[in-house]
Amino acid sequence: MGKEREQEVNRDIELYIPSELGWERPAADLVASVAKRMAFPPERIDDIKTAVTEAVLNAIEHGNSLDRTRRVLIILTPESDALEINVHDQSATPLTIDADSIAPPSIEDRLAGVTPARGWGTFLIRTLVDEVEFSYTGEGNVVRMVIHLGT
Amino acid sequence: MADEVQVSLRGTAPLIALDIRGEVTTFADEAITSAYQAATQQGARYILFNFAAVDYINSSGISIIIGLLGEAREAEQGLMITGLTPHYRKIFDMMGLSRHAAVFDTEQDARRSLATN
Repeated sequence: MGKEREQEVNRDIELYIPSELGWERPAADLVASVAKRMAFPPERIDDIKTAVTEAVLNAIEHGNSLDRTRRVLIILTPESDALEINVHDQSATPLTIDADSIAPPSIEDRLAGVTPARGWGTFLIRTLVDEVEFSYTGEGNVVRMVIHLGT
Repeated sequence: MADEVQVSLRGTAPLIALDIRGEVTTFADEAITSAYQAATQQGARYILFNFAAVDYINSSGISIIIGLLGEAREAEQGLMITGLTPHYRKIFDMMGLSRHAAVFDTEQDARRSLATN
């Protein structure tokens, strides 16, 4: 018992979901439950849920191309002052996160038909969390998000 | 895993309300677009999207609304929104939707705005 206490406890939580639209919601519900346990305020939990929803949707639709044989992995790492969330897809190629998706999209352009009416997910993720990184590991894309307590 | 959404029309022209119930995702496209078209066919000059019974909206769902904003603009209709939670109102503001569709706290406020115009 004592030795167990001396060992560092791994509090990572891992969730695998199928690449089917709709599963982003239970994933976000799990993250919200963890965030609530960490005492994030309700309005921040709403932000986290939306960011996770959009990251998982990207992974399902664009990373895994709605291929049901591929899964999306969500890893939650609760720290004393922050929650880190990593969303992994199983894409064979890296997704392109270009300047347009990083900059705030223009709804006026969208209404004028200059750009498609979709593609807001990345914008929402970047706006709603404190830190975000998009990377490719060779086995898939990873979106790393960090939300600090007290922001 | 198809999400469920129901959209019902309420009222008569010039203002017809679309009461949306359930989840506004990509699966809601046909239901919302059909309801918008039905309201247009009934002569609506103003269409009020009522989100009071909506508990989940994602970017795909918001894209449906943006698409209809474009159609409403071409048809010279006024598009109004009510019933959003504070979180989704913030999201709509962030995305610039509220610059093109009037967002109201209540349906009463929306109707009052027409009466005063």
